[in-house]
Amino acid sequence: MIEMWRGFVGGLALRRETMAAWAEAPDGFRRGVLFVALTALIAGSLTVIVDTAHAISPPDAEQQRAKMQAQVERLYSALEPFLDREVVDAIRDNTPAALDLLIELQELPTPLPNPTSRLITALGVWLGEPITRLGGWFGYTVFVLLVARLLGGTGGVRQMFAATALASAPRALGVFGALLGLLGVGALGGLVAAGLWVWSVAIYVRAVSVASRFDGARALVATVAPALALAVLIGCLVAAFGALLALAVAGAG
Amino acid sequence: MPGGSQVDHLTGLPIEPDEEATLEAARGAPRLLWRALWLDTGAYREMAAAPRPVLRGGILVFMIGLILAGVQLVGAGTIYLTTPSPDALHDTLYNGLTAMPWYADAVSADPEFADTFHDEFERQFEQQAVRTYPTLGGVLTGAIFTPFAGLMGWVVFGLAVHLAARWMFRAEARLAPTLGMLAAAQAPRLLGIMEVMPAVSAGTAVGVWSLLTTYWAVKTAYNLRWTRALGVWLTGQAIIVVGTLLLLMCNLLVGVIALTAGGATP
Repeated sequence: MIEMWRGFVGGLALRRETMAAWAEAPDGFRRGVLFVALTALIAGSLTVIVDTAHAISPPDAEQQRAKMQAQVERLYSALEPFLDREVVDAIRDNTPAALDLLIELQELPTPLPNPTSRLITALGVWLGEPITRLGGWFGYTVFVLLVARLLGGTGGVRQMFAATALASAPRALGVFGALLGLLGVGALGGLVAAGLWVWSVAIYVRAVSVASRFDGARALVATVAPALALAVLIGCLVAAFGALLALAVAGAG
Repeated sequence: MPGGSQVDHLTGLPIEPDEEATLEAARGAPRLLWRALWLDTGAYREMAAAPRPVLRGGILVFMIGLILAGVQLVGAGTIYLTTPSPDALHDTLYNGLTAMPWYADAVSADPEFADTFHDEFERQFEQQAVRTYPTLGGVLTGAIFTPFAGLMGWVVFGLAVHLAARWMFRAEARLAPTLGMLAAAQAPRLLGIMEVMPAVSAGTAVGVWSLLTTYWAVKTAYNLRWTRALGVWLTGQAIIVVGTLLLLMCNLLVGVIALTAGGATP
């Protein structure tokens, strides 16, 4: 646990020594995986506490409805400048019935009594988050490693995963973003989340530089290249789909 | 095994080598899989150096399959216990949607919309229900086939990798130790245990982690540099993809021939 704490503080401070120590540790890969899982658990801890409290003593329907209505109103205010007036009116007209339906769906009986059922689901969502994070981190880092090796990096699989795991440190601070959301300052929560994401990327780039033993510019290229390649691929697919659709429409015409 | 073969303390009879390998595999499995999960090269080498690595590997892969089959059964039970019945969900959703103002507007503009909406709703609900609600038959079939599918996948991938390594990359290693190492590389599949909880999907994490462990096993088994190890690993995967496509095409061809012949016969 002491190593985890050191990694957390060193990662947040973008300390090269901490990253190098993690990359060179014989159990670096295990440490990295556990660190990513732990930060995801911490980030989701507040949500699971709130969900558990709601499972044990659910808020009454009117309270729930008022909270949802406020959230939806905030969303409309943000989208209003971009949408047609008629569309906004139509959405507003249908919102009360949609909220009724959502509340009714939440209250449907399940074979297990509802508090137990909701508790299990809340626990599942919380425990599932580290698994999802691990999947995303593994998948992306494999490509970053490949690009880094092609750019002359010398770090191996274990070094890269151990060092880049530290980039998940700011995620643990996301618990404060969730707190702001709960306090009704959702917009500030979004700003905090964006700041934490940038912080994560900065740690990730430095970790790639340390694990691959090359400069920051090449680390930045290795970090961004898989995302760019993915964006180009999606762009090509969308363009190809659009072209096919246009051809089909022209053919039908 | 130092000091020759062991003796069964119940019967007093000597334990046969196969039986010994089985017992050894079962006893050491949790520790070995734990180490293999963290890319501990020693765990892979241990598996390759063990007596009868194919038998030990097979037992390991089958055991993982059995555990996952159990997880599927428990997971299906959890989903059943924590999800409202499909009928209640269907009725609530349909009644709720048709009670909304947009529905009334759409029906007043086009009276046939009610029928169109009903048909589309039924179709969509049927499709989603198949994904959400496990059926007893589906769960049992999945549970029975999981251990055997795991075994088959392990053998096929092992053969494909060995073929690529020996004939295309001229790498030196025997098949049996490679299969042993690839069995240890199945460790991340155990992460699927998390799927006993509703809302947990371990698919991506298990998939990518398994890619890492199998690459690690290939690199260790043939003692290759990373570029050649990646080449062997990718070629192994490509052989499987091409083989599967060929198999599908053969099936399709047989189906077409059978249909044509059936159509030609009065």
